[in-house]
Amino acid sequence: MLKRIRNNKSGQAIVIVMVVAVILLAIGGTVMVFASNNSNNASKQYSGKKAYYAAKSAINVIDSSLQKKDAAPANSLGTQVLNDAIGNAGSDGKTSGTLSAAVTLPSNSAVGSEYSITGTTLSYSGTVSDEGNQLHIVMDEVKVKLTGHYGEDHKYTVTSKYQYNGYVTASGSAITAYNNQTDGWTQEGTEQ
Amino acid sequence: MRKRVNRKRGAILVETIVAFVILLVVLIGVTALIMTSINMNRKAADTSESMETAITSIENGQLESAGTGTMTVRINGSSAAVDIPVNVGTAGDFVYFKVQ
Repeated sequence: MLKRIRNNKSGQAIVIVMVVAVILLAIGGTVMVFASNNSNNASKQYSGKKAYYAAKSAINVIDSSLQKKDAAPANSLGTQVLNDAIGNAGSDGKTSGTLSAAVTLPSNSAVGSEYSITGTTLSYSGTVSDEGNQLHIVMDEVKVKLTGHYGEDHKYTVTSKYQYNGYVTASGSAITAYNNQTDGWTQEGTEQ
Repeated sequence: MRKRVNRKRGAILVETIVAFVILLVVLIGVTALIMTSINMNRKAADTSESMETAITSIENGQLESAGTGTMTVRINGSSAAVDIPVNVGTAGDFVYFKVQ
């Protein structure tokens, strides 16, 4: 019986062709999956880089407003942070706080609606000491953090750290003059 | 006896034709898959290349001006928003902001 089945060669060509077909389709399918993943990764990386540069350039812009070294207290982020630090200073002079902010990107045709900045926070800790007619403010750390978005799925968070050392005149918790920026604002670095 | 041999030869011919047709269909399908894969890879390579070009332009400061604008930062609870004038630059379809 087995010998008869073994000797019966009809249909053998189709079986061989089917095996070859399955192997070819498996190879083709694998190549297709790899190519598809490759294409998706390239596309994701491209959009991710857009989010990265949006975040990086936005924190550089914020950095300029934070580190403004004007003698007069202009409406800058630096002044707003220092005013908040003075307002939050305890009797021992220690101060800390976290400010959250909303960043609106320029309305420019090149900046599509896919771009946005979210989760902006400015946190600080340091000391404010009363030295006669002026305050000595030492910020051990001011940390700015924000997330740049491109589309819904691509985001990048950057953090920048600063220190501040300077003397100011203040009325209540509002700085009226910067007297001596011993070190002023100094940037410690940016983490990405 | 001769009739039986002819019938067997006919069956082998039909089987061979069917096998060739199946193989042909499979080969056409696999070729289409491979062609699509090649196109996808080419597209991925183009995307990577344009990304690298844009990154090089940004890092070297070779941006095309797309005009100016104002970045507004409003600290929650503060009535005064901080308006920062910026130049908007582009490299490919990447956007980069620079303080004026």
